[in-house]
Amino acid sequence: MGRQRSTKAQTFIPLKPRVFEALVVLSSGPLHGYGLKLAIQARTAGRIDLGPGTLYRTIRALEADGLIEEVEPPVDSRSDDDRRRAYRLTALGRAVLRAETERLEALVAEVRKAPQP
Amino acid sequence: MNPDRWFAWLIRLYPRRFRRAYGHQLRTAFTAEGRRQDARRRPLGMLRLWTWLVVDTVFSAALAWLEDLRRLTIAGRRAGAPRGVLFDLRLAWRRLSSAPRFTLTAVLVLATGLGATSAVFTLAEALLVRPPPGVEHPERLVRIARTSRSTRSGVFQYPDYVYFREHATTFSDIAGYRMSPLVLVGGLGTEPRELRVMAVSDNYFDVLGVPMSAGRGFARHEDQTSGAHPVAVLSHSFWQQPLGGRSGVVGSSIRLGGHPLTVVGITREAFHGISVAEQPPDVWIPLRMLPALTSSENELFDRPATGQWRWIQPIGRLAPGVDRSAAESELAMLSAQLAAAFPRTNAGEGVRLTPNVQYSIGLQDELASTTGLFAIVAVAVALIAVANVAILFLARASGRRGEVALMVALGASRARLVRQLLTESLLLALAGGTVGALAAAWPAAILGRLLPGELHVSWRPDATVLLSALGIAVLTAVLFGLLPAIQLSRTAVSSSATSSRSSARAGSRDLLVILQVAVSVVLVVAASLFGRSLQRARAVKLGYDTHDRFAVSLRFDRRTSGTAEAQAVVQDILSRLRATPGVEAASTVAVLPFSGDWENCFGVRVAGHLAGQRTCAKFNAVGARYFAFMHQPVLRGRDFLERDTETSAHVLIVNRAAAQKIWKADDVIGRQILLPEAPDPSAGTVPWTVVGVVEDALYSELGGQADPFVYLPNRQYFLPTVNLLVLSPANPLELSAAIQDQVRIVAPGLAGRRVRTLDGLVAGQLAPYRSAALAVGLFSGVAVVLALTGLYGLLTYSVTCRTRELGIRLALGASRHDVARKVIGRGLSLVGAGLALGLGVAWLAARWTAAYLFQIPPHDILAFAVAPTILFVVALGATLPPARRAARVDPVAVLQHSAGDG
Repeated sequence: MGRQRSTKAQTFIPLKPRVFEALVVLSSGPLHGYGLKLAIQARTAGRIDLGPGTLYRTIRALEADGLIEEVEPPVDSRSDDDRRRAYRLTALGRAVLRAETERLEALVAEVRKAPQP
Repeated sequence: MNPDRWFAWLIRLYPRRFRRAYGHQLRTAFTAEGRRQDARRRPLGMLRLWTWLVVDTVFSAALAWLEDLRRLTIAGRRAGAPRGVLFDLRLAWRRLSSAPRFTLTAVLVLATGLGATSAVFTLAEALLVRPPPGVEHPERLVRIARTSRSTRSGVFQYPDYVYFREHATTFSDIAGYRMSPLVLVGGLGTEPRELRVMAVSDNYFDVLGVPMSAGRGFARHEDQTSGAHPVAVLSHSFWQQPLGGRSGVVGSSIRLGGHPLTVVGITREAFHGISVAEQPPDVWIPLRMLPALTSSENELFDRPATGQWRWIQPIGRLAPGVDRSAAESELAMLSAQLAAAFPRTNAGEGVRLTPNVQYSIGLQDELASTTGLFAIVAVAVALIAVANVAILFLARASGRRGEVALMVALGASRARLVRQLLTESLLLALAGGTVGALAAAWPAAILGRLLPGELHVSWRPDATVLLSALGIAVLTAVLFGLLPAIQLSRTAVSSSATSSRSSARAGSRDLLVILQVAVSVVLVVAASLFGRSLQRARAVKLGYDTHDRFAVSLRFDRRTSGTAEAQAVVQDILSRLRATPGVEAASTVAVLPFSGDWENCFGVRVAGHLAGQRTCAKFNAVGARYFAFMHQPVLRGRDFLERDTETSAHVLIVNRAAAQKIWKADDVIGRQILLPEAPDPSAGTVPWTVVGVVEDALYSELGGQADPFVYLPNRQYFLPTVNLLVLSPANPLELSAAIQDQVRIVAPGLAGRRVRTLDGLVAGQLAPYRSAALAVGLFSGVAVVLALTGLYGLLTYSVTCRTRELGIRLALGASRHDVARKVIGRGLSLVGAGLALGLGVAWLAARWTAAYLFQIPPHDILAFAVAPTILFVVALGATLPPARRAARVDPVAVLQHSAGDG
């Protein structure tokens, strides 16, 4: 099963930067859509600022691919708005994030190994 | 505007599925973004934020649509849905064949609509687009027409043509031909027969690009001196038919009207002359042979001191790289030079170039406008047909909800459903279009016969017509298929809000019926306008009787014309005709009513007045007892008699208009005039005495006032053409043979032409009005039938749908009358709405019909009153069967049935 998942994860590699950031942010816990946007913005120091459309299009694609899934929203945000939904990483999402991280690490290592200009 | 509403609006750009999943969150995100910027209170920041939001939304919405589409396709494939067009077609065919009544009705309705448009297409292509066959690069040819206030033929004086030919630089060359072909008796070692002879300039075949299949065309020097070069070119079909295609024809001699001419060439097979308004010519001769073969003078080629001869029709081939407008400007300039040099004849004249070389400018305009009228009417019929089929489809769609729901349950996507339903409509449209296009030759021939002029055109639709019919069929399929397909797939995919949608569908059906009725009202109003106009034209009092009167024309050549010998021939034939069984009377006339050129008039001068004081009057040379023969009343004095001969005193008869115009008096018996243009020079100086005044009569056109006329006895004023007139109730065909026989006995070389009825000549004048009335009448009849079929279908359908409701109403005590009245009321209210709309449109559009109407105002109240009355009565008829059906609903059966359902 685990091998199967890692093989499947390879099909998503390489990831678009905003997808990678979304997976990274979600790896530390569920977030609702707008929270995801704010977290990515904070993590990248404003370098990646997703518009609402792009944000939910990304979320839809990740959901459809099975990388994230909807969860019951955290208790504190429920009072705010019942219909605000939260998302968390699936096992496949985690595998994809791991695979992408490994790919980037290998890339960095390779660049490090090469003679410096 | 409240930003939240802006957001709501922006979110609409996304696909519905996306909106449903993320719409609320999107709005929250928008609001949050707004609030964040608001907190910073920076106006520029707000602007930037908005731009960013809009751009982000538009882009991501577009991408979301694309993703949806891809996902749908992939999902369809994964679900194992068959993809092939063949599968769609097979399924569509199975569905349609399982509902044969629906399918047949739809195909027939579409065939009617598309057949009507295909027929008009065929007509337009054959008349206005198709170039004359056998001509090289016809797109570079132009007809050069003279324009003036009153011209219809657009022909020029010969010197004007030569001026253009010599000075125009925008043409490779300009050819010319005599507009009306000569009919001469002749043969080439065969039995003499009537031959159609075209007189053309030496460069005619070069300009047209017609190569010879044998021999050569005309040489420059052969068209320089009158009568000096008796040469002729034969048509391929003449060479093949009477001559049997034998060799050695080139170089041999052909006799035309008694003159021998040497055959120098035979045209290519494909070439049949350029005019489709006449029969193809058999022989071409150089223009300069005209004086020798006809009685016309050499003056044809000069600029006469008095009067004018306009007869030549130029055709030009544009020089390479020159367009029509440049050539037109150059000719306009040359024409202005001519007008300055010859103000008496050329002032106020212009030039118009038309790409269609086949017709005279008048006929061309007439054909174009009549075809245009037909096209508008045909498109209206096609629209009604499309609306009709759309109604059928919508009605059927409601019955298919279950089937479509099943397809959805089995995994069919919405796109898949729409495609399937569209395939069905496409199949229907193609079937209807094919039937319509294949049958188009038939209505096209009927319409073609209704057009003015005698046209020699094949009405078989060509590839362009068939292709455009196909294109229209596809367009039609989309028109009538898309709306029901979308509605059906929508209701099937989401079963919510069904009732509101079904009422929307009912609304669109009602609207379609109203539109159909409106369009047919417009057509019926037009038809009754044209019908009234034709009635008016028919009722015109000509001033003489044409019934049972026949004419056969004899043409004497120049040498015999006017001689005692020719006079004797005419008298001999006349007396023989009078003795023929079945013939009640006989006379002669030079120019028949409504035939020939009535544009010219002669200057007559009252004896004793100055030479400059001329009055313009039309004239005709007629035989003894002509007015008695024609039942044209003699008001004063007498008719011409047998005693008015060459040797007796010169006499004439004038009509009332001429008496008024020349002398401003009614009783002018005994007054005298001089005729300066008489062919016999002595006639110009000898005074002619008025012996009779006859009632005004119409000879040149149906509308307007009668022209002043001067009638001369044809034994004193002889013209080369003599029309023998015969009054007989006999069958025209039998009589024709008898007349031809008499002519052959008396003058074997003088073949009589075909016999014409005077009624036929008048009918020719009625042709434009008749064609408009018949064509529009035909189309409007079809339109009314289609529209009422639509109304009937809609009402029947709605009664079927409401059977349960009607049953309950009846069970609750409503009377059957009430129920029936309700159905009729609904039908009539739809018709009423259509009538109001249609009458409004017709009123606004009526002024466009003025050009086709004869002495009827476009807003003729009677026509506008008749149309809705007819339609209302017929519509009432269409509502009765569904009303009866509603009244016959059995409440007990309905209630039992619904209890069983429950």
